[in-house]
Parts: sequence; structure tokens; C-alpha cells
Amino acid sequence: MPKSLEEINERIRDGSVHVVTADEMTHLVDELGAESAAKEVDVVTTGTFGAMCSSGVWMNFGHSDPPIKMSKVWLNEVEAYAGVAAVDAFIGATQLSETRGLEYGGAHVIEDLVAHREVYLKAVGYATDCYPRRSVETAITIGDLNDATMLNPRNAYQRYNVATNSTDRVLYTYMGTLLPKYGNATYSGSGTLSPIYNDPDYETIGVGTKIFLCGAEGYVVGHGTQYDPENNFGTLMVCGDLKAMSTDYLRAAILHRYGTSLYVGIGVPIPVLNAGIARKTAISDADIRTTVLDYGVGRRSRPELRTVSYEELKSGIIDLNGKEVRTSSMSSYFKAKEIATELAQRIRKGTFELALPTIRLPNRAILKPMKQLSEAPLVREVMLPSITVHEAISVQEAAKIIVGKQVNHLPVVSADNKLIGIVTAYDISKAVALNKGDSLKEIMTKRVITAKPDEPIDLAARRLERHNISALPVVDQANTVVGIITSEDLSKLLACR
Amino acid sequence: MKIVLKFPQEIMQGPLLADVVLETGVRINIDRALVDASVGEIVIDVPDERVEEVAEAFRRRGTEVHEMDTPIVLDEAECVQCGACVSVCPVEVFTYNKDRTISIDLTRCVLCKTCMTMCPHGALKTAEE
Repeated sequence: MPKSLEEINERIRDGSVHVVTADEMTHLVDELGAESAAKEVDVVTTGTFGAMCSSGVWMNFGHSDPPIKMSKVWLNEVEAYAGVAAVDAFIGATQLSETRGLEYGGAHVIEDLVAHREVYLKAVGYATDCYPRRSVETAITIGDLNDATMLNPRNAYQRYNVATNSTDRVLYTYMGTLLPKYGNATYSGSGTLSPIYNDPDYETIGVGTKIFLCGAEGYVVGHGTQYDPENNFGTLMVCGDLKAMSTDYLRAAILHRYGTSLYVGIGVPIPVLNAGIARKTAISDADIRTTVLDYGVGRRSRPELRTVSYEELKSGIIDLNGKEVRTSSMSSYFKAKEIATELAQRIRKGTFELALPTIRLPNRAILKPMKQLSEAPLVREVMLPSITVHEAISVQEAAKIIVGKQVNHLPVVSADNKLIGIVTAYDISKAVALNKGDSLKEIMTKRVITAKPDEPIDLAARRLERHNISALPVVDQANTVVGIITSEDLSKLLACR
Repeated sequence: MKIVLKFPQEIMQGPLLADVVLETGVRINIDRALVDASVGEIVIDVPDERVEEVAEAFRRRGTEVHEMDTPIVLDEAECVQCGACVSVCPVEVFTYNKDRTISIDLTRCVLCKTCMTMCPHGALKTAEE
């Protein structure tokens, strides 16, 4: 028999409400069946605790005397967006400190505020008749703010792709450190506790649904950005009062060589209004599947290796092409469970009532890639013809070619025209200065970093930067040199974009 | 037991490890090795009952020998029990418990420090830090 939300709230008020966490509900429905479970249970609580980059806080600082219209504002040297009214600003989790770089960002400012630590504020503006002041510097704590409202454009991803790395070098990504040659795989999401997976048709999660947000009572503003419900990549835009939040459920994070992010704790209560809802909240880790992607490919479409369930991911090992690969969760299931349990506790104590959505979330959305006016140029389009030399020539001959052709790099090829090394003008000078090396073969660099003709130039530019070198021979499938791409040419090109 | 060997530059050329293995007959496991222009540092794992004998054999050849200190320290206030560390550790120091908290077996640690940079919360540090 269906229940109304008002009946459930009545039970919350009189203390007779029956609440279970989503993982417990899975077993209950298994044992009792959906009909009986729906009679027995009033509310199922879900939870998630993970890196949610698309998070931030709107603040109002109050007016200084004389007043200023802030056009730029920094908190602990992290810039906040101030292109709104005079003393309003938004600080985003991933904005980096202008002095400390990857070690401190907007997420840390937010955590510092929640922890009641003092934050240094600096703002500049242009003077107007109504706002004559041009700059202000002060120190504030969260209590000094009129408003500190967390507003996160995209949180609580229904599930997420698994990341691994096929290349022979370590990758540093927003999914953590990915070891070479499928050395590990990382995933995120709370599986059976996932808020949206427990209400996949958005029957109870919608505009105005009350949620647990980092310890405070928050609510769902609407669907999140990049919302893709048909492919089970639903997201939520959520809002809550930062002043009521706790660092138990909100943490700044640093993803090594990537940047900063905010670990956000969200719990969504699902009222069990009928057997259909009960059945959906019975979802288990084994039911939720996701795709393993190769982050070794720096393109929008990363190769899909296979699909796996959260149950397999949680087992600690997945099979990738016959190799046993160890898995890590980037989000914390333990904290997700703690949040679902804490939310259940608040409901039982009568301090958290439920609200139904005032507007339902759409069950369809169109997710588009970026419209680009032009495709990223490929290496093939910008590479220059390369002069190659044979391994057997002398240092003297190579020096003549470098001077005569005015180049700095000479790819060295074997008799059958395969790339086997590279020499630079510096290598030649060094060999001459030290009077060593008769043939190129002795002085060339044998491990050559190369580019492929069909790669976007951004990937080649990143490779030059990473290896701190100034040119990449371009080779085809057969390792034959088809051109060369130099940092000099690339920087000219990239500067024009 | 894990011990740290520090080779001064003068003796880095010789087949020291091989000599010690042949002399003692102990099957030494190399956990980690760092050799550059100025220093050679190797962490080896030796059966507990033979540690003294092996250490002595290295000392006689001019090698500094230390017991490996508490390798990595966990700051429990910062740890959120995500387990990011679990899959990057080459020697499986970290494992998930049934309740999805993380168990740490520091006796296995070879101080490669990969977990320290992997940890999003800066919860893993060396003892000196």
C-alpha cells in the first residue's frame, strides 16, 4: 500500500519512523521482497564522499568604509570570481593559489573557512561615485561573512568511469596516479549507496529535495551540469549553508601534479512511498556496471577496455586483457556509509524531515562535445620536412650539414631508413670540444622521443615540455622519419590560437 | 627484516652484494635500490635470524648498515579511508578491511613514497616530516 510523504514525516515527528541505509535495504528486499520491505521501511538513506571538482561557495563580505566595488578578489591568494555585485564572490574548489600553485587551492580556502581558520582577503576595484575605494586587505573568518552558501554545479555523479593506463610512463590525473602498463586502476563512486542509483527515475530526487550536504541540511537545486540520465551518468546541482558544515564531511584534496579538488559528503534520503521505489533501492554493487577507460590516450574519446561491476572493483582486483590489475577507490565508501548512517540517525531523532521535489528532473538530456571552430591541428599539418643522416657518417660531416642546412636536430637513420637516434648541434659541439667520437653512432641519443603524424599538436607540445626537449622526429608506423616538429615552430603556432 | 645499506662512492664499483650472498649463503631480496653519482643506497630484506651475520658482512666491506626506521606515518586526522594508496603500493602495505577502512602493514614498506603523493589528503608522511 502506498504511503504519502506526509505520513512519513508524521512518523519522523512521533519517533516511529523506520530508516535503513541503502546497503541494508538491498538485503532486506532480498529477504522480504519489495512489497513487504516497502511496508516495513519508510526511508532509505544513501551517501557518497569523493572528489567533486565542480564545487564552490558564494560569499558576501559586507561593505567596507569607504565602500569598494570589488572587481577582483583573492582569499589566501586564491582568486574568487567577483564579476557580480560589489562584495559578492564565488570561490571554486580547483582555483589554484597564485603563490603556492598545486599545493593550495579554492578547496583549501573552503576547508579553512569551515574549520573557522582566519583567511586573508585582498580585493581591488575601480573607483566610482558610489564605490570610491580602490583596494582593501583584511583577515576574515567564516563568522565575519554575511553569507557563505555552497553551490556546487555538478556533484554526486551516479557512477564514474574507471581509469587505467596502457602507456609505459606514470600518468598523474584527476583519478590519481596511474602506473604504467596497466599497473593499477582507480574508480570513484559509492555503488550500492549511490544516491541517484537508488532513485534512477528521479521519482523523489528533484528540485527542492532536502539532502545532507557536508554535515548541513542542504537541498537539490536541479540537475547538475553534464547531466546524462539516459546513460546512467546523472548529476546533481546542490546548495547548502557553509556555516553549518563540518570538516568531518568536507575535505580539501590535492591530486598530485593535477591540482586541487574538494571531497564533498552528500547523503540523500529516499522516502519509500511504494514497492516500486523499494525495489529500486535494492540495487547492489553487482548490479552497477561501469566502463574501464585507458587514460593513456589524451583525447576526448578514450579507448574502452571493458565493463566491470562495482562488486568486482571492490574485490581489489580486475582482469584487464588477462592481467590482474589492482584497484583503488578515490572516493571513500567508509565515509559514504558514515554519512548514510548519520543521516538515518538524524531522521530517527526527528531532526531531519523529508521534502518531495517541487519540480521533477528531466529523464533525458543532450550531452554535446564542445563546438570548435576548427579541429585541433594535427602533427602532420604542421611538421616540417626533416633532414636525416646515416649512422655511419662522421661528426665532421654532421657538423657541416647542421651549419649548411641551418638546423639544430638531425634524426639518425639506419641503412634501411629506420630511426635509430638523434643528434643536436650541442651534441656535435660537445663531441668536437672533447675531441671524442668519430661516428655519429657513438654520440647520438638512442632513445628518441617521437611524434606520430595523426596526433593533435597539443599532445606533441606536452611531450616536448615533459621531456624538456626541443624537437620530435615524426615517424610513421614503420618507424621511418616523415618529418620533424620543433618547439620553436609549435610555440609560434600555439601563440596564434 | 629490512635493512638499509649505504655505499660510499669508493666501493660502488665492486660486486658487493654478490660477494655477501656468496659468503653468507643468505638469499637476500632487494626491495629498492638508488645509485647515482654520489651515493648508493639499497634496501634489502633478510630473514630475521640471519640479519646480524649479513649486516656484519657488509660492514666489513665498508658499507654503512642501518635498520629501516618506521617507514611511513599515517596522519589519522587527515585520512578519509578512501584507499587511493592501495593500488599504487608495490608491496601491498595497504589493504581494505571488510568495513572498507584501510589496514596498514608497515613491516612491508620499502619507502618508495608513491603512496605519499597518491594520497589526496596528505595523510601519509615520512617519519622526518
